[in-house]
Amino acid sequence: MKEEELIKKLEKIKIPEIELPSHREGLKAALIEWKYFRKKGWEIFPFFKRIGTLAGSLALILLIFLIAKNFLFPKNNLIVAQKIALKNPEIENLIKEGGEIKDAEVLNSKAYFLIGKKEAEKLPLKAEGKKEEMNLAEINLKEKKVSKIEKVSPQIFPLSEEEKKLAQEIGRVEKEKILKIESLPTLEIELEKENKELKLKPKEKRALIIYKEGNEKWAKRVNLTKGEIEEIEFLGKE
Amino acid sequence: MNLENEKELVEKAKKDPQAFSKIYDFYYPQIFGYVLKRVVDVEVARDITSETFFKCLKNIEKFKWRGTSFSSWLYKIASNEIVNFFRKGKYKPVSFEKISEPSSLSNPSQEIIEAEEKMKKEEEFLELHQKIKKLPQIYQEVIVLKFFEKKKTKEIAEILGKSEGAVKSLVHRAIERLRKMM
Repeated sequence: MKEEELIKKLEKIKIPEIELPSHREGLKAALIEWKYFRKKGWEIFPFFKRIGTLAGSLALILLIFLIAKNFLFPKNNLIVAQKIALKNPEIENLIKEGGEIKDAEVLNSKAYFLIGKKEAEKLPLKAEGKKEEMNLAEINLKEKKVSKIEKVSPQIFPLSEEEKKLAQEIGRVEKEKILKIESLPTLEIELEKENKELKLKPKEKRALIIYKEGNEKWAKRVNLTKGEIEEIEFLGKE
Repeated sequence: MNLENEKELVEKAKKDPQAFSKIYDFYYPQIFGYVLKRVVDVEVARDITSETFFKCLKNIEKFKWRGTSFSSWLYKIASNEIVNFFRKGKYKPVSFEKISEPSSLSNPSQEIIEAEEKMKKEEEFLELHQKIKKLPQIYQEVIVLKFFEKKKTKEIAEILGKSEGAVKSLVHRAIERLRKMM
């Protein structure tokens, strides 16, 4: 199929027109109620004064607090974990040295914080000298203590054949000129729960294309997630 | 909705839920339609749309008119939720769990069933989508935004956070990839 034919097909294709009127109205009502409830939140306490008995008011407050803590705000665990973490001298030191919590997850009564430097996590094409790394802190929520802190080195996430092909297209390098396409180590990572396990996943995937132009060797770093070339470097003549 | 009216309404919506509902009424069909064209699953599109508007309402007070239109901002939220769906292989709205949903949102209903039946009849679109979904995410995004949502290059650039040149290049490469699959 020619390009013009495909473009015409895409422009003229009949687009499905599907509506969900009940969802549309129900969602609107839920959103407005949530927004209104949040605004009205501070008015709950004066209301309790008018109930009558102090005991009745306190019981109701306690009930709402328990519901909120256990069902509405599961992220309260992260707040508790953060408080525990920041009291740990090693973590306190990491933060003082320019670190920050990059990502957090809760799994099986434990909280995990990925701590890294505040500045960009992108590693240079040539890893020279200084070894960058992050730290993964595990907080035991039951025992209310930091159970371990592990170093996390730059991770390499292998590229699939599909990703290598995409890298070639983004990099605009002819197939015959490519010497190799490889994954780049990265610290732009995040935590993810997968099958009740904690895994490290890349936030953005990158590839390094090493290729030849005549008798010159070049390297191109491409961002597969954003679809752009990030850096080009001359590696030398052969 | 013209730009001036929208600006005024968005500012009001930061504090006034009724103003927000006017914005919602205007953008719901667009966002739901966009999400549906990307995921081709009525229930998932419903959930992603819910999450998109929740995040919009939650963050609307932080929204500022700085080089990005409100429409692009909303599409960007939707795009990010779609990426999360494809990345994890399933969709579990997180933020929206905080809100008690009316039953029509949480139970498969006649409305969903009818919508799915209608979707199944769009054979030409579904056949094309089978090919589009094999493309990398970024290519899928530009194709749907340009050809199905009829967005201009400038708008797509705002949504994706890229230059117009980069968007044109992406569209060209996406078309080339798709063409080879046809």
